[in-house]
Amino acid sequence: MADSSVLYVNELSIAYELKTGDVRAVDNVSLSIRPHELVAAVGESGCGKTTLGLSIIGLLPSPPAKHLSGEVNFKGKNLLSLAPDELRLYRGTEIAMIFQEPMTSLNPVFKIGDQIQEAIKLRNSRGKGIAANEPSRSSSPSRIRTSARRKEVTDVLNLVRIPDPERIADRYPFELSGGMRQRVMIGMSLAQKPSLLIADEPTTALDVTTQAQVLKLMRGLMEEVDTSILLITHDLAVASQVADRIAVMYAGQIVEDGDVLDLFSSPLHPYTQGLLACIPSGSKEGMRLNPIQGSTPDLRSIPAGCKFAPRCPHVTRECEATKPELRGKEGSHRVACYLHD
Amino acid sequence: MQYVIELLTYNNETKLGFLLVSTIVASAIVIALAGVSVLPYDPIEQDVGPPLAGPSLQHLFGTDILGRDVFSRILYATPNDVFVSFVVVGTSLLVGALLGATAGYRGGLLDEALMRYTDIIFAIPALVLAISIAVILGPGVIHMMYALLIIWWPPYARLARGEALRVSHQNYIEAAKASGIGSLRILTRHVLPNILTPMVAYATIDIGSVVIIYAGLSYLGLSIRPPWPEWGAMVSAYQDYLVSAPWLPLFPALVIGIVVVAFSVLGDGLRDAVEAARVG
Repeated sequence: MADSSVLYVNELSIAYELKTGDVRAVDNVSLSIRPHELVAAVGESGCGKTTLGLSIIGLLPSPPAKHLSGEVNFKGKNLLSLAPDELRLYRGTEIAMIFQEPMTSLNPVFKIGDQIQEAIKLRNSRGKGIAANEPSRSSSPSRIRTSARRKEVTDVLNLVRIPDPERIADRYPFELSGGMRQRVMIGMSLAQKPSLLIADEPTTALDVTTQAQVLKLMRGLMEEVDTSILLITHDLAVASQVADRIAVMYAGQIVEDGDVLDLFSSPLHPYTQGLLACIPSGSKEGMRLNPIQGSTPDLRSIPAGCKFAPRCPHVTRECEATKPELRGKEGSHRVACYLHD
Repeated sequence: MQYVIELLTYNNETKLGFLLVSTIVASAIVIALAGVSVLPYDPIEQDVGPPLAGPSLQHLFGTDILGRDVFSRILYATPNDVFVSFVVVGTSLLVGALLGATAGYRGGLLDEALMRYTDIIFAIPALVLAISIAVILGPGVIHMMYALLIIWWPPYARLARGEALRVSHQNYIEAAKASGIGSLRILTRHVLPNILTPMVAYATIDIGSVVIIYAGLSYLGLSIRPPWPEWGAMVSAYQDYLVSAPWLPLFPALVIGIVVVAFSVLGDGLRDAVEAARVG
């Protein structure tokens, strides 16, 4: 399974060292992403999904973050064993990341076109583009070079379906709407032709209509630029629209992992069932939503057994005593619950 | 460019300040390039008029005891004062921005060392320190510039550090890191441009402060040697005539005042404009 994957996270555990004690934000997480696959990590705030994303790209601030165990294998190489300088070469051109806040993710003092160009230049300097194999280009007149660069910039904007790219390239970030900016961010990330794009809540700050467009765009571009996507979101509905596979996280742990269809038609974990019950159906009138009782555990004092046990309607003595592990074959429908042993 | 024009025409304050400052700078440049020939009289030539004559059409600001034209002397000192102020502030801005931004972005030992050094400089009154350094180095314009530079850049480093701290937590820096850009490039291309505008606004006000300190040091006889004129030195030389020929010390003092006000009006307006641009 791990061989064909772009990314294979193996039993990764990460903790934050706080004055009040260590907090295990990512707990024994295993996850693989195959080429051209869109995997969504879904969970509530504070369940460790962003920590997971940042640890893959190596941008976790350390301290306070501490790598406890496990590997992040990217194309067969354990990224966590690399020196910072080596790891940097993976960022952008191999693994790219886009963030939740499109409003502030672009540098306010440069034009859109200049910022896209920076991404293209970086790719070229690492020999991933055509320009690197074409030294003759540097001897061509600067006018031609400028217009060639200009073309690359508008290509990127075209890719993410931005109307009138020639004009937008000369705009500053504040002149663009949130949806446009997030498209630019996606374009910039994909301009570097990464094998994996980590999208951390890319549509949360956008309104619902824009959200759908951006998600559809990302899904479509995945094939076009030959990449895989790890989508981090708290919104199961968003994940269901675009993902191939969903990993449900709870308190730092993956509790269920499976194909979108399997997961929605037969959710196995009580937490997933609870989440699905929380989505308003829209067709049935007058029904009350059925929320999960209780709240997420304080990560400083997690239950000894199953972390979901205090809120679980099917809790048994076994659940409270020992922690269930994720069972099943990697890539198939897996669940961490004693109900399905 | 468009942004610069927007800032300069933000309100009446910036417009007035810009008009005054550009007049001062333009006349300094003209006088520096063309020399004595553009002035009504040679500034060091004696007996171009009767001694201690009051302001008149021939001698706008009157003449001193040696019969030198005060107006020409004041004009002739402009390039010197403006040059010193710009060099001191410009160098401080450059050094302060680079060191401060690096310290703020990278943190660690450099940050600690730089901030403790600025603490030391801040602990000693600027004028006293400048006088001590200038005395050790001996009088002269260049020596005084050294003295001023040593005490002048730390506030810039502080400002740059604070701004860099603010900027380095912005998402676009995180995004730049995520796209694999090296830290030197992030610093020069993404951090520095974003901290520069507030720093330039501060620097504009600060030019006025340098003019005052420089005039003060000259007043104490630490800069240019007579007979060459300098505003502070003129106030000092003419103060004995405060009763008998009050225009003599008054006009150079007035010019110092106008120059200081011009720069602070512009700087003050720019600060508002920058603030507004940041919010808007």
